[in-house]
Amino acid sequence: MTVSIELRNITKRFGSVTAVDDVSLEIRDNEIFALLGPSGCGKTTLLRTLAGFEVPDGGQVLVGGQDVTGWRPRKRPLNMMFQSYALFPHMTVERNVAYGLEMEKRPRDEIRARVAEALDSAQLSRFASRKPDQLSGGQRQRVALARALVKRPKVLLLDEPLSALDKKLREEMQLELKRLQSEVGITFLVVTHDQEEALVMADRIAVLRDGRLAQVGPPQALYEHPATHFVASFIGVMNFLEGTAVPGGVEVPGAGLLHGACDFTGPASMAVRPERVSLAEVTPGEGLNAVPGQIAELAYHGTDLSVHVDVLDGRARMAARVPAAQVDAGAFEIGRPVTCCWAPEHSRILQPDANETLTGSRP
Amino acid sequence: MRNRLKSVILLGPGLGWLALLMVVPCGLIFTYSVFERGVYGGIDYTFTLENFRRAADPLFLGIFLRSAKIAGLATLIAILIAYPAAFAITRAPRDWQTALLILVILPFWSNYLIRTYAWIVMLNREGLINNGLAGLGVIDEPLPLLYNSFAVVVGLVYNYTPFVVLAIYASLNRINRETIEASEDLGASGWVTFWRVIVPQTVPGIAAGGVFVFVLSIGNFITPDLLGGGRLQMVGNLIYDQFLSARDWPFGATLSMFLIALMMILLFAQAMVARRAAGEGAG
Repeated sequence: MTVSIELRNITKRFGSVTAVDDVSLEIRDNEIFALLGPSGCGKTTLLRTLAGFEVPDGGQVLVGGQDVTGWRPRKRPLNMMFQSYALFPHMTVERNVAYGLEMEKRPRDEIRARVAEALDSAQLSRFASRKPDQLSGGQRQRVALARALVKRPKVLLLDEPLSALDKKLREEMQLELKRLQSEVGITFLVVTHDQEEALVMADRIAVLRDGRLAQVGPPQALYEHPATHFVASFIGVMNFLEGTAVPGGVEVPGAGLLHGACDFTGPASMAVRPERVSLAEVTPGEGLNAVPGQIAELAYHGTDLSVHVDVLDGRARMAARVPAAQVDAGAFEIGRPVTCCWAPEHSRILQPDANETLTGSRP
Repeated sequence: MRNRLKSVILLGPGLGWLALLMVVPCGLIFTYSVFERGVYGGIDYTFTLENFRRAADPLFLGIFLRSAKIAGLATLIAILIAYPAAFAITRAPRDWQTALLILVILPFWSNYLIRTYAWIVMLNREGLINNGLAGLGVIDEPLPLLYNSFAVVVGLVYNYTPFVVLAIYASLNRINRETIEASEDLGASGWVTFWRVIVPQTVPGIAAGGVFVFVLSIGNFITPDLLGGGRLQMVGNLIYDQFLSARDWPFGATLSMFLIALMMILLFAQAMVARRAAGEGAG
């Protein structure tokens, strides 16, 4: 795999606020890479640095092996799809899409042909002579995509590409974008705060927190093997029980030794995903971690049922996800005693995050 | 029912104001224009269309045209001065913008007459500019800066440019900054972005400011009176004279009708521009 974009030790400060703090990343050719994090984590600043709208205070940006750190945005072989789509309101759809090619001073015939092709493949031909305000949100999004892709950039940057769409359309577009990416065969770099979106779309994800990289990896790796407490809690739902790491597991006051692979000692969290937790009425046999408690809340999701259990005499709460098909009528009632069980291989033992001084943030 | 009551209460003062100070006077003007003048001023209520025939005289048409030319020139210059200023203000740091805008409207804290008289001091044969240029040896003879259409245009531009700055600033501020970045991202230089992305999006502001200057300029009578030296008549002066010197109220009313009609057309055109732009910005 060749490297498409390389960020080397990028640092960007706004006044006294460090928005991006010494971030190094390699993004490969032809992958969908997601920058994921809560608002203010520096992901948008990083994207804007890559596009050339922000000049980093330190570090280098390489695209296709070429150092473009000081280049103006218009010189970079990347194009961006903006969060607001940034369509030119005074131009028709067709003129919007043609704009980038006109700037390249392409021959008229070529522009016409490529714009027609772009509109056709985005199913926008019917709307060619409309103004952006006469389009729906989804159509506007497709115009923004077509306008960026018609330039045939090496990398497409997408800033919260789906955040303006409603949930159903968003889910459709996640797959649509994936399909499009494999068709055009260029690198997509997506900024999102939506962990589900990142999990669905991306080949690899970088999780950012307070301007620093928390973890980089494929979706499954991040979900199944989060490196830090933050990543574990940010991606998906996670149960945490606080305790002390000892060889072989975590000693949790009130629950005894809960087993799991652990290579350190000291303060630690025992983490386990709700879908790995099963509920038993009696304490199960050896080999499983077991924490007894009482059902406190039930939440029905259609496909499954979330059972929230008060454990450790109410000092902690654990969630278990039971597939709806396996729920017998009346099996779970609030107040009923149950035991949360899981296999040691599903335990994730995490050190508490270093109590970083929050450097402040920028959305 | 409650809602209707609420809108009556809310709209009442504004509508009352308009009715009292716009509709009624306009109605009066219109009524006057179709009657004969009284022998000693005032109105003789005998129906006639004579006033309109007189107003169509090439002499008065010429004054209308000259007024339109002066107002048009003032409008153009005001826009050319205001646009860069407004642009610079939008580019200034946030906290500076308010201060700069206050500076723009600062001249309005002094009286219109005083500001106009100040220009007499500036443009006089012995004024600041002539003396300055003579002192530098640039000119031997004082330039004829005062009591001509040049002085009138200067006075109008000076007085109305701040409004244009505000109007253009407002429309520049409404531009989605990401469209400017998108233009650059798509390969446009700053200059191309300015002409193809920024200016078209501020057309409503330019139109609003421009119509404002034009309408106020073409009907203005103080500036042409003071800086034009009375030799240069604009429509405003003409109407003023009909009412106050010639005591020909019906004819003054007729001329006013023409002026009002012209302004209505312009305001209507500007409203159309604004509506089109509002439609584009919506959603």
